[in-house]
Amino acid sequence: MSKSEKKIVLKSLDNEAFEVEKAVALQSQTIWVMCEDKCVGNEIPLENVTGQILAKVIDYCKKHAVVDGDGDESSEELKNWDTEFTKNMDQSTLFNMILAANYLNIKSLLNLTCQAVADKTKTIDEFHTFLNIENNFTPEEEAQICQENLWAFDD
Amino acid sequence: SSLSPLNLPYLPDDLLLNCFARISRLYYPALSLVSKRFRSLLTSLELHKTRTLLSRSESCLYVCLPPTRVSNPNPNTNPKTNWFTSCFRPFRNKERKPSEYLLVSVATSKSSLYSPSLTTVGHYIYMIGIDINGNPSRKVFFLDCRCHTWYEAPIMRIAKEQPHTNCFSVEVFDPKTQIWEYFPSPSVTIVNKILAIKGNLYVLGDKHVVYMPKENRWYYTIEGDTRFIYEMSLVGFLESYCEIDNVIHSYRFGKVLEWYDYEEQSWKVLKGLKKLYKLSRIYGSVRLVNYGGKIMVSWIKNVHGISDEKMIRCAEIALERRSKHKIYGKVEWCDVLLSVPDSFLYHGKVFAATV
Repeated sequence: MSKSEKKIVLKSLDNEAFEVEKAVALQSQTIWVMCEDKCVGNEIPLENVTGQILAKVIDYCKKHAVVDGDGDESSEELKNWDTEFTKNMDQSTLFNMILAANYLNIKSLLNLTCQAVADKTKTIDEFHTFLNIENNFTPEEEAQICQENLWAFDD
Repeated sequence: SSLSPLNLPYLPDDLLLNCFARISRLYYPALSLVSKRFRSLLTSLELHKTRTLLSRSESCLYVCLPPTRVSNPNPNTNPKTNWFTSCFRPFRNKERKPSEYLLVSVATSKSSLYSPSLTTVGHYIYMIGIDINGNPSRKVFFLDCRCHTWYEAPIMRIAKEQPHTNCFSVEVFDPKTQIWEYFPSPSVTIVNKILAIKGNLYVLGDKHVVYMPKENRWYYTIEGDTRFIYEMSLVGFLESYCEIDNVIHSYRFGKVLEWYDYEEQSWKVLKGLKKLYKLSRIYGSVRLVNYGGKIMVSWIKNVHGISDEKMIRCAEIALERRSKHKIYGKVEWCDVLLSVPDSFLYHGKVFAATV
């Protein structure tokens, strides 16, 4: 097999191209299906993922592909790597990673990022972020909620 | 915060559910205040299906306070309900302290229902013989703790079929088939206590009888159980015991938690809890409940210096069996969960539902 057949180019929404090993990219069920179904050459356009997020997804896939192939890293080490990987991501990045993992259909990454959001939702900052974007109560409803739930808003 | 909320992408419901399912149930009351979408997702059966799939089901504390005749005694900020559930308070600026457990009111669909006969099966709490104008009826309702909705179960039959007999009679309800079945039972005239222990049903009264489901038979006495039945008949409050891994734990006269050693036929003090007793004396009306293999003990405490207020205190105690005859308890947390008016002599029923 020539070198080019083992490699694949992933193109992001903002036209950033990433050349990766096929084994790395095929962890995505979506890419796997695209490779099977279409004769798209070795360039795959991913219309829902930005380059910034795709780079992180590829990092994750590289790490997990190497381990699966070589088996030289213990599952413990891999777990630690996963923790470090999501540790410093802000909520916006995590949300984008969830969307990307879902679109690319990478189950383990989806689980990891959803768990990371769940872990972070325990702190006040994340609640406030949620509150700011999601709140769709009318001012009257909001006043009533605050009145009835002083326990939650009483700092 | 350095985050710009506007940059936060929109997560569709299925992905949000995937995140929510991984969060402890204790955060749900606060999360549901975020938005209408959150509120409806957090009470959806879809979410609880996902929690089950991910093995995230957990024990959750429910407290039902009895309706009182005193004017406006309800400590609840939501006066429409006497049901409470435990939760975490998330909006603190400091790191989480152990003192952030709370009991908050549960807005249920039918808030006026009440009966002192309550029992829990998985994520349902059954209320049997609903009070109608102060009198018990044959009506049965159950609360689905996942979505806080009451459903009506088929009514009991016995009260109708044997209206004039004072004899004790048994009717069995199968939650799966939703069918009540009359159940032949021995004649017991006075019933003091009914206990479900070690998989058997103990009826203590003028006669003590035991039903053993495995053999589908009633017995008047079981060899070796006489002492145990005698001890159980002395346990003051019906709710002040719980069974964990076939061991009965109880709050008894010694103002300490004890467990019954069947082999030695005696009560043993649960060790390792001296600090708990020293810091927060457990006394008065005490409730014990099996909280996913741990003991959740709750009791009412007077607030020092404030005469018209009492507190419901709870402690979660993990258990460790160090030898055949020694069990140690470790306090995971101990906290004031709710203030109640002084008029509350007893704080109702306590349950651990699995959600």
